[in-house]
Amino acid sequence: MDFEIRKNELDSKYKNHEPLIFHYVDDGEEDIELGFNDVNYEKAYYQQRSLLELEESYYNKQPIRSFYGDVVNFGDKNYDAVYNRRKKELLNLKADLMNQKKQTKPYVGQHFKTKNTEEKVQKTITGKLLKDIMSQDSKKVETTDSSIITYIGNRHFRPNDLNSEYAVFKKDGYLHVVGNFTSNWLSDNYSQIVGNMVKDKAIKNIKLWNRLEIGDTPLDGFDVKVRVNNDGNIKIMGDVDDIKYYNQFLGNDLGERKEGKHFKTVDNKSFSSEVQDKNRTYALSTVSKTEDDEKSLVVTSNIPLNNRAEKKDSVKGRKITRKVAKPSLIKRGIEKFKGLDKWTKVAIVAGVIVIVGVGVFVLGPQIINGINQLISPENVDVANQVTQTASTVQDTVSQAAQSIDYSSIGEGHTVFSNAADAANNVNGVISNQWFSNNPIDVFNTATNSYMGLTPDQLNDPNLLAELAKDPNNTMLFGNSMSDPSGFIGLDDVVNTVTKMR
Amino acid sequence: MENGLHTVVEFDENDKWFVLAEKVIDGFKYSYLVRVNQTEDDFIDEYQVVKSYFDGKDEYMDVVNGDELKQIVPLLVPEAKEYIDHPERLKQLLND
Repeated sequence: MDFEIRKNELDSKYKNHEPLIFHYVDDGEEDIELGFNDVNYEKAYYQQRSLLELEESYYNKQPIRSFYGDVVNFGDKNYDAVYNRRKKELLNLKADLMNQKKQTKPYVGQHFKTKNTEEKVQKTITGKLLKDIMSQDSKKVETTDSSIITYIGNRHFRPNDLNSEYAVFKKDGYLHVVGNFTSNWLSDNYSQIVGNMVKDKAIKNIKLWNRLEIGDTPLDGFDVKVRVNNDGNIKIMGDVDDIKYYNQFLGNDLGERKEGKHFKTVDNKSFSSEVQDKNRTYALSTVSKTEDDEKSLVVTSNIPLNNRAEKKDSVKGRKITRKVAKPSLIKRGIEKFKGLDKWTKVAIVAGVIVIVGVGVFVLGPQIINGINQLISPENVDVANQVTQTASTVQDTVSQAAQSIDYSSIGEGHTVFSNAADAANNVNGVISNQWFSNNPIDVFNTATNSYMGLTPDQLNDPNLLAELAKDPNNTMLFGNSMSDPSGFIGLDDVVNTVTKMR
Repeated sequence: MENGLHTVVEFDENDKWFVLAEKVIDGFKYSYLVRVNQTEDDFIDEYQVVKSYFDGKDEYMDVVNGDELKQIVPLLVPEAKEYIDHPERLKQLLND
């Protein structure tokens, strides 16, 4: 239903003297159905008509005129404020409680029911509470679904109202709010809206999804849908975290409405009292479908939390700039990792190796060697490994969590000329000044083979400590494989090297 | 959150990486990066997992190590879990 239809319906009712809804503010707020003979009947028509026009203007981003005549355009920072104020004014229209309806129309038979008296009589609002009307099966009230939403000011979609139905959930680092709020109002009432979720420091941004309409609407980019049924219930469909629904409307009951003293006898005091509308504004209805080309009626806003008083997690790491990859790079990748599914194979391989503690995560070729080591210890060509480390190891060492200072191993240390002696702790000699404390590799005397460790691994105290548990592991020191200095039992090495950088 | 998959991330002129995998885990964005050369034409065989931090519009990446890395990799690359449990299958994977 679009605004035109709703305006026409209202006009038609008015013309036919059918009962109209009047939004009445007394102790609380209530929707009342007034008959033609009620003195406030025209006021009800004026109220409902004006609300429709206001809603239409706001939805279509047209200029809005306030009660005092000033006009704001969409884009003006006061636009929302003027809209809300105008709506409040209309909803708070004072009912005329003093006068009887003047006989302005000729007798038309059954329409004109009250006696025409000259004297002014204080009277109460005589309309019926809408909820009473609704509960009477016999009473025929024009209540198509759209009418309910149109004329009652359905609590589901009252904009900027904490009592209206909405949902809050987390997904992909965002806090999502699905409800009929404007972003300014959400910002101002954030903690009330999201409740406990306000404490979650991992949330850096909020996404607001408003202007809901009946049916399924996808939330772009998040693999989530919002379903709004004809009763106006919201349901979030999709995989989300920590979802909470607020003010869900269940069943046919119109819900908790204020029980205030609506029809008390009017005395002078209460008549003159002004009802303060605290912070609640009511809209006429949901935004209906329009013939707009703009298919996406779901508006989103990003509300960064930077200006909030909460403490932020301290930022770590290095700043990046992000850019689109050249198509040639992507193509190159496909060639390089031919047959792979989205490079997952590389990711798998490297990831597995780092987890099981063998191989180097950051050096490509070492991954292969690492796998070999993992699967079956063999003689690995250590010389190749050493030469390959030249340029890249400098970059990667900085990424290693810890490293070992080997300077405590040197002249005066007991060393061995071969691995077997080192493992058995026999025939040791005291090293002289020519002993190089540069670790080359670890040799296992049981398997009689080198492990093929990389510089990174040789600097990993956790790995070495683990390997040292095997008494057959010995560490070879020297300038290179072809220029070795000697062996030291790995447990001895680990015990000696207590200093960590 | 913008999808950073297959974008290039630049720490500086000589420190550029290509995003192979990206996932938000526990509210934090993790990325699996492979290094690229300065001209962004080719790959260099270095890999790392990083965690993103935000300050306003700026994004920072911090290298993930140790226990956190061991927890994240199976989530970032779910296919890895099978091979973590059965590393002997890696050889077969490479030979495919």
